[in-house]
Amino acid sequence: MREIAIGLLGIGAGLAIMAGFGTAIGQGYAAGKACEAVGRNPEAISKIRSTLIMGAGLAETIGLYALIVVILIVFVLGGML
Amino acid sequence: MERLQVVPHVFATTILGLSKELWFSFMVMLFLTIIVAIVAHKAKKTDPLSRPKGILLLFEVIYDMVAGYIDSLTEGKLKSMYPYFFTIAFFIFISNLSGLFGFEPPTSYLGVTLALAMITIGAVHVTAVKKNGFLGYWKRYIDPIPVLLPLNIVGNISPLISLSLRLCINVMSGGIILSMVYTVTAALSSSLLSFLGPSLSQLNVIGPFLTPVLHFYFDLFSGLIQTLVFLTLTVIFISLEVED
Repeated sequence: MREIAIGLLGIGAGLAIMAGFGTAIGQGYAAGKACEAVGRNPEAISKIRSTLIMGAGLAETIGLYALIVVILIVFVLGGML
Repeated sequence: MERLQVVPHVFATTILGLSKELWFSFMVMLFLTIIVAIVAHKAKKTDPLSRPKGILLLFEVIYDMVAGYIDSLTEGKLKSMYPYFFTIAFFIFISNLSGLFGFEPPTSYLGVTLALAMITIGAVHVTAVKKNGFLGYWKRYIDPIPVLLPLNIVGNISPLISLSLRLCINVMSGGIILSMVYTVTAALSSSLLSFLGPSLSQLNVIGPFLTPVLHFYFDLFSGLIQTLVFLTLTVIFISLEVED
């Protein structure tokens, strides 16, 4: 029974970290658009860079929510076993 | 088998009756107060037309950078809120940096970031009351039609949750990953050094070679970015109330 519980916890943690999927797509899209913007307007590179880093920092939050959920699953729920 | 002790420290223990994050934020505040007192004392003594030197020059450069950034967001309005913006930026940045010196950053506790976000949202609503008058302020809750009242209430409160959770989780996850790496390297080096006896094998010889780059990323870079994000969102939320 305990082995099944541990395996289910692992499956849950793996499913939860899937939220990183969306974050990765969003950040990659933003970086690609930033590259396009630099190609079109090279003298605005410093403004584009700071905007990109801000946006990436905002988008990263969702992935970190997933990380926190995974850590809670593994350490808190795993500790209850 | 002993488990890794890296459970997030949301449930803080207390020292002398006050919770841990309160002591850490007191230390950050004390540091900031001392620095600001020194700089203010020097700024009062020196001639404003002469060239600044030393710590004064550093702080003039920092002021120009931060004020220029806020100016670019607000187009020069909101001069009366600048002390609050600077306070919040310095407090968050120094608390994120304090992870480098062995503290647990106060911003990695939800209580501290929730307080910061509550101050920001409170400032937003106070600005709205100042702008629209006390009766005009309540019109936002029944904006298009009165049926949307519950949605509007949620929409006015949700920035509180997203602001506080974003900052807290970013800093906390960095700390958790670092403590995981420290635990793993301690276990590795103790098994490597086991021939030296029980006391010497406790030395973590692998950690110092691996963790500086992680400290650089999680404490310095991520701390700066999260400070920037919190500052930007605060400035934008408040300046949205002034504009229309």
